[in-house]
Amino acid sequence: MSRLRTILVEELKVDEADITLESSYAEDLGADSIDIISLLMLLEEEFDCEIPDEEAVKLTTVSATIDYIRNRMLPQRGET
Amino acid sequence: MKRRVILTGIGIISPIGLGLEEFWRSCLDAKTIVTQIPAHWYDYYDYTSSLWAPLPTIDYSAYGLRRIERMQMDDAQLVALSATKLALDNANLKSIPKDEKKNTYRLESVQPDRCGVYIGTGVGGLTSSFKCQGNHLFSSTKKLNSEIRSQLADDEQKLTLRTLDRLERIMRMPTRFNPFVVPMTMPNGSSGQASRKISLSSYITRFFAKFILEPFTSFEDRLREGLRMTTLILKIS
Repeated sequence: MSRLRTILVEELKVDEADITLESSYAEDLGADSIDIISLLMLLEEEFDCEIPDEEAVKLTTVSATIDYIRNRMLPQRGET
Repeated sequence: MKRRVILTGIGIISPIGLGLEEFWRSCLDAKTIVTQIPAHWYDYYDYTSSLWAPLPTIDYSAYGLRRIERMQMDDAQLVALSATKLALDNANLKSIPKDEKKNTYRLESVQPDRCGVYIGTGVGGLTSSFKCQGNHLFSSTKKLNSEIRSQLADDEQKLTLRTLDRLERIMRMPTRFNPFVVPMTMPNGSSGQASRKISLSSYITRFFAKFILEPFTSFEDRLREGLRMTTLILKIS
C-alpha cells in the first residue's frame, strides 16, 4: 500500500488526504485516462512485471490495485 | 530597416559535454569519445561499421524531468527539453512553476503569445516507434520460445536450452507497447513538448534535414525547397 501511495502522491500529484482503500481513480482522485495509464506504467516499473491489458482495465480502485499487487505481482517476483 | 536576431542563451547536450562550459572545454581540449559499438549489438547483426560517438547516460531528473515524463517521452524530446532548460538558464530567463501536476512553467517577463519554438530535427523519436513495433513483432515468437522451453527436460537438452536463451536475448524488447508512442515519434514532438513545458502559445515549427539527400545547385535553392516541403507550423495553446 505504501509504495502505491508514494507513486500516487509523488508521481501523479494526488492529495495524500484523498487516498483511501475505496477511492476510485477516476471518480474520487480526479484521474483521467492518461493518469490511469501512467499509473499502470509506473507500477509495472516499480514491481518489475507486466500487467496484461485485460487485467489492467479492472484496476479502477485503490483496493483493486492493492489486491492485484499482492496476489499477482509480488508472487511473480517471489515476494509476499 | 533590417530585423536583427540576438542570441541570448545556449544550451548544449552533446557526446562531449552536457552544457556550454563542458562542451567548449572539450572542444578546446580536442576531446574525442568515438568508440566501438556495444558488443551485444553483434547478437543482432554482423556490422561492418563499428564506430559510434554516443551521448553519455544522462540523468534527466537533473533537468527537472520526472519519472513519468521519462516514460512518456522519447530521448529526442528529453534531450530537447534538457537543452531548452540549459539555454533558458544560460539566458537568465527565470522559469516560474505553473502547473505542478503537469510539471510546466512559465517564463518571467515573456508574453506567451509573442514567443514561439523552432526546433530542427532529423526525424524525431524513431527509436520509440521501433521499440514498440519490436514489442509487437516478437510477442508470438517469445510465446513460442517459452512453450518450447517448458517442453524440454533440463538435463537432456542443455544445448537447445542455451540456444533458446540466445533467442530470448535477441528478442529483448519493451514489455509494453507504449501508449504514448505517437507523440514520442512525431518530428514536432520536441517543439511541442518544449512549448508545453514553458507555456508558450504562439507558433511552433520543426525543420527537417530531409533536403540534404536531394541534389540542388545552390544552398539557397536547397533551403527554399526544404522549407517549402517540410516546414509545418502549428499553433499551440
